Amino acid sequence: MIYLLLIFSSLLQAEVPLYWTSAFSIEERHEFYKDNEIIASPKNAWQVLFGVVYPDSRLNLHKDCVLYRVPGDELGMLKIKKISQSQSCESILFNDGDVTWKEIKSLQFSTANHTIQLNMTMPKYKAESWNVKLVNLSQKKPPHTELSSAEYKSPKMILLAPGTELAKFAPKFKLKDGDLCHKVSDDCIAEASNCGDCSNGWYEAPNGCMTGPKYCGSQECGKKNATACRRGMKFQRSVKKFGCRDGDISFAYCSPGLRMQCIGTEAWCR
Amino acid sequence: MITEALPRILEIWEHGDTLLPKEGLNCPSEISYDQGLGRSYFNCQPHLWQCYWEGGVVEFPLIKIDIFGQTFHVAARGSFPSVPAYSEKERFYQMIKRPGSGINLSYGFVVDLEVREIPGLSQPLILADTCRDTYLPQRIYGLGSAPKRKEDEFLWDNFGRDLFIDRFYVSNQQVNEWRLLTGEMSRIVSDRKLWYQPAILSQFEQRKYCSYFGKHVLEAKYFDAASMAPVDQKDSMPSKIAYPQTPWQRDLSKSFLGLARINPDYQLSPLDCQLAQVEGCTSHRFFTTDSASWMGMNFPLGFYPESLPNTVDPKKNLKLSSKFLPASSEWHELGRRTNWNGEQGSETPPVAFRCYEEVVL
Repeated sequence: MIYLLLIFSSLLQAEVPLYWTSAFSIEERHEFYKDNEIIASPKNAWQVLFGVVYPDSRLNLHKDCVLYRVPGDELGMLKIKKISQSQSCESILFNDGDVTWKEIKSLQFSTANHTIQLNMTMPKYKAESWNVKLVNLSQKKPPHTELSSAEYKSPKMILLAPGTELAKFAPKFKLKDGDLCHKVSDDCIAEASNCGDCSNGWYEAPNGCMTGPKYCGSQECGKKNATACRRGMKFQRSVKKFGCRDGDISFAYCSPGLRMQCIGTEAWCR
Repeated sequence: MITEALPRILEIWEHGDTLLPKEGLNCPSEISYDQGLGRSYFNCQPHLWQCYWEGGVVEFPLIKIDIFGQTFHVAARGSFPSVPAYSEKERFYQMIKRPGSGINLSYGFVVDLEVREIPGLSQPLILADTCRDTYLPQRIYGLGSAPKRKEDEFLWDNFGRDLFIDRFYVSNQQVNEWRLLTGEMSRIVSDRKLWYQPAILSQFEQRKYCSYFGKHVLEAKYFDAASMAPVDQKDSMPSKIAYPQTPWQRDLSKSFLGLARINPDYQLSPLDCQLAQVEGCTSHRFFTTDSASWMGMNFPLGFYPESLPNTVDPKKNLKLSSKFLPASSEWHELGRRTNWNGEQGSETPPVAFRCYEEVVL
C-alpha cells in the first residue's frame, strides 16, 4: 500500500508548456518512433521527437522542438528549445534547451488524435505525464453547402499563446500587387499558394490547367489588357487537351469585342 | 480550464440569435433588436459579443466551469482600446486582418478570455467569421435567362474551384469594420439603425472593400448559379441545364409574380413578401433567411437592386428586381439584368452588393 502511495504521489502533473494547447501543427515528428512505444535506440544519441508550432498573440508562428537523448551509458535527457517556425529542429539538436529534464529512465510519447501525450519515468519512482489537447487542430472538412470559407480554411477559433501583451496588429504583407503568388508550371504542376500574403486579394491567369497561376491584386478578368476569365474544363463534356496556343481555348473567355492572346501559356485579353 | 468553456464561447459567437432576451437587449450604443431585423444579424456579430460581455444580454455574463468539484468562472476581458465612433467603453474584441501564411485565416476577431479565480492570466483567441458565406457546389452552370437558341447558351463550370458566396448583402456594420481597419474613422456610419442595412457604395468602393478581404464583388454568373436551383443536385454534369425563372418555382407564371403580371389587383400575402420583398410589402426585413436559394444565398429576387459585375456581358451588371418595383414588374425574374454606371445617385434606387471568395489552399 505504501509503495502504491509513493508511486501516486510522485506522479507529477507536468510542467508542460501551457501554450501548447494553442498548437497549430506538429512538425518534424520522428518517422520511426511509434506512438506510445518506449524509446530505446539509438543509445546515447540526440533525437528530434517532434516540433510543436503555435502562434503568439501577435500571430507570429513559433516552434518548440522536443529533443531527447536516448538512455545508454547515462540516463536520458529531454529538452525543449523554442525557435522560429521556419527553422528546423535538426539544426539545433545540440544546442542547450530552454527547459531540460534530466535522469530519465524511460520515455514514450504519442501525437495521435490531436493530443500530445508524453510519459517519462525517473529514478526513485518519479514520473511525469503530459497530456495536451491541441484545440487548434481540426479535421479538414470537405466543402459542402452550408460550410463557410472561414471554416473551410481554418478552425472556427484559434487559440493564441497566452502570457504576452496583446499587441496592435500591424499586418505585414510580403507580396505586392502584380507579384506571382501561386506558381503553376506549364505542365500543370501547382506549387503551394502564397496568395494569403497579398494585401488586396489575387487574380488568376487561366492557362488550361485545373488551376492557373495567380497574381496579387484585384484585376477584373476579361477586360482589355487583363487576364482572360476562367470558364472551366468540364462544361464541354468531352475530354480535350486544353492549351492557350495549341489546344482548345474554350477554358477561358474575354469580354465581347476582345480577343484572347497567349503570353506564354497564360490567356490574356487584347 | 478555458478549453472547457470554448464550446459555450463558440455558441455565444456563432448563435447569438439564441441569446436574445424577450425584454430586448440593454446596450443601445452597440446593438438593438428591431422588428425589421432577421435573427441572422446576431450570429458572428461583434456588437452582440460586446453587448453580451458588457452585461446587456444577461446581468452576469460568466461561464461556469466545474472541475473536480470546484467552480470557476470564465469571462471575456475588455482588453482592447475603445472605438470612440462606437462608444467610450473598452472593447471586448478587435477585428484584425493578417497575411494568410501559416494560419490560413486572413481576417477574424481577437478576443481575450480570463478565469476570474486566477487573476493575471488570460487566453487570447481568434474567432473566425463562420456565418458570412456559403459554398457553391462544383458543377456545370448556365448564365442568364433560358437562351432562345442553343448557340446562345453560355455554359461554364467551377470544377476544381472552391467558391464561397456571401449569404447577405454587405452591411454598413461590416463596412464600418473595414473603415476602422483602414483608418477611415470619419466615414464610419454612426446611426445604429443603419448598421444592419446594406452598404451603399460606388462600384469602385465595392471592389476595394471585397478585395481588401481577399474577395471579389459577386459576379453575375455566380449569382445565377447560386439562385437557379439545379433539377438534380446529385448530377453535377447534367446534359441539359435548367433556367428556372424564380428561386422557388421554375415557371414564373405559376408564382405570385406571374399572377401579379396578369392581375393588376393582386394582393400581396405575407408569404409572397417572404419569398421576394417587392413594392407593396409592408415590412422589409434585413438578415432574414426566408428567401434563401437552393445553396443558402438570400434575396435572389427583390429587396435591393444588386451590383453584379458581368464578365460575359458587361453592360448587364445590375439586378434590378427590388422592393422599389411592383410585383407585376418584368424585372422580377432570374437572369434579367440591366446596366449600372457604377455610381450611386439620389435619383436612382440604392444599389447593394455582396462578395464571393475563391479559396486556394
